[in-house]
Amino acid sequence: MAKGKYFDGLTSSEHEATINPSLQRLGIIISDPYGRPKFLDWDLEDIEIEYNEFAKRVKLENKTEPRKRIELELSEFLSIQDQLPKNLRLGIRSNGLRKIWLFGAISLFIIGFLIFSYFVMLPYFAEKVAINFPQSYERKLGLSVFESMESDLDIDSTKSHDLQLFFNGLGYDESKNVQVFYSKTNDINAFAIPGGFIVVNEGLINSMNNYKELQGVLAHEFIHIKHRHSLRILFRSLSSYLAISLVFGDINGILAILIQNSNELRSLSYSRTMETEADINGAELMVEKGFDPHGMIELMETLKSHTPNIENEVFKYLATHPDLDLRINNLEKVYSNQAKTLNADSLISKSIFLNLKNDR
Amino acid sequence: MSRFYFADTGSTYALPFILNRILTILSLSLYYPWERAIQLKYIYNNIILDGSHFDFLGTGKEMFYGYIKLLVLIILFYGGFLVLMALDFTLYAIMFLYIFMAIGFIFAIPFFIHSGLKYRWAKTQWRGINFGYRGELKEFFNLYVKHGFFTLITLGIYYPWFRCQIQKYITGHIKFGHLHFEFRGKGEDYFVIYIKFILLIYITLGLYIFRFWRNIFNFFTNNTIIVDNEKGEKYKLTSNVTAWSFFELKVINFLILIFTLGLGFPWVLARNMKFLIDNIEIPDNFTTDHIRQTETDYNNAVGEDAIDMLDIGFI
Repeated sequence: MAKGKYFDGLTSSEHEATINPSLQRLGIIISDPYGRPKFLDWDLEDIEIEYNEFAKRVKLENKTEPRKRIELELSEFLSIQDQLPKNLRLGIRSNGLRKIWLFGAISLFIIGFLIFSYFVMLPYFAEKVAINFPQSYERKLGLSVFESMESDLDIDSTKSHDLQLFFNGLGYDESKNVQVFYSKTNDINAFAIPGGFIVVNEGLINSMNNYKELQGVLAHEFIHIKHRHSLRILFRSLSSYLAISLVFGDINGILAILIQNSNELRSLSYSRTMETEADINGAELMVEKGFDPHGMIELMETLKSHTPNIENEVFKYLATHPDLDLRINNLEKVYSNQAKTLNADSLISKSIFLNLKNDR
Repeated sequence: MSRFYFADTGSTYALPFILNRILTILSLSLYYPWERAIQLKYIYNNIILDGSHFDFLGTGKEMFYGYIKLLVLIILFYGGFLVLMALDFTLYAIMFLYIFMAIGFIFAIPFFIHSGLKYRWAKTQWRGINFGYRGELKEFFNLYVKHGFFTLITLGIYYPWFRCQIQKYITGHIKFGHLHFEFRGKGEDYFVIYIKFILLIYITLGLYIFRFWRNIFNFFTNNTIIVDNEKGEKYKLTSNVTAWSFFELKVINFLILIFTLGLGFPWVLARNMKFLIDNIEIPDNFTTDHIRQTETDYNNAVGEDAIDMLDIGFI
């Protein structure tokens, strides 16, 4: 015996009902509006069962028109469940606790999978795309970026020619057709544009103490180009953006913007590892070509002496270039015992460098 | 205890929400109709009237067909542009074609609203008594186009009257067993709400928005009436929300979403529903145990999701 509520499908009146299952039938006792008991008898064949997980009720519906129903609390139903045929029992679904565990396990697995795809698979595919991106397109892309910047850069074509000679003399250029430019800007900076454009500022060259530092800068920027760092950042953030808008796209616009900005921080830290890569691989390249890798370290010292001291941790994290001390340490660990080899070309390089620096 | 209220805080929807959201994402949104069906079941089952919950009988499968049709339309709309570009149509020809299509889309809106209403109300039940929407597409379409045209040529000034006409038609054709509804709101009253909004929103540095929302909520609730022709009685719904309660609702919802990175959505949904349902008061003399079954089932899912996308809310 179990207690529930009976609805006759004709009106909205609610009747207290007591139900009593037997082999073929379901006996129901309801009280009519005057409080007198009324006996109903349902054929089990006509009954459909449904568990409503949000209302936590079991609904037994009699399919014959008008559709009548009995609603029971889950615990009431479970007390008579064994007396009903198999098709009118609640299966594993009724086991609330087990169901929650299952839900939990599945969602954890899927969330884990999503995190894995976001942090491992997505960068992997973005990397693949960046590596396989046709070189001619990369060149076009870089060219349009360079052209849009050119007027601000104030390029000195004579000095650019000299700088190009200096760069060619290093023998870094393999299949990449790298163009080097001398910009009359005072910022102590140099940068690489995808497709093979390197720009070195006057400010940087003038603050250098010797030509080895210029070799270092060019090695560093060349690695950026060779490893397609800009493209990798581009595809990485494009794919993250796609994934994020897929997950949060339809919830809240403001939310998306917030998450996007926090993602920006990730991109920055991604390029920090690239900077380290450019330092180390650049120094390796210098050794390979027979130059003194200390040029790279001296370059860092020069940069350091021209950078205001930033002790604040927040700024350290936000800075694209990792802390210079850290970079110097990384390089010194490898190259402190390296012999200062000199290349035959170094005299020419030296004279070009002095020419670039002094000819103001 | 109140007669009409929303029973959950959001916690029972948390797990289904996460699981279904993930399935929707993994299926590239093809699963969305099933997610929506579960969400509607959750909402309906927690709306309690006189101790009994509402039921949503619709299924993801039914809504899937409507969803696919809509998806195909959207893909055609955007994909068509790329195809035309590839076929070297001139930009002017494409623009002309798209303005033409956009006008067609405006005409499709009443169709989406109509089929959405039909489906949603046909699938709504309380104590086994069906709701139903008995509006005629042709009548609704004519009404929509006529008043829509007035709105267009008056540069939107006519909008309050347009909105009231639409609401009057829709509400007037909703059945709950032998009961039906009526909307008595007048365009001029709605117009005054808008005028006040325009005059005060800048002076109050935007804070008037909460009072404006309150006015709109109260306008629609207080002008809705339940009609019982058999008893010859009418019952007026009332609402007394305050601007402050709107402020509290919106600000806390915003904070929940931000700090949970969107995972707090079930709680926000429950808070919204609680606000909506708990603030609608049903008169004491309205009794619910004599409502007679009159509506039959209706099956056509087209529009269910168009309604979602157009964000036209109805209870």
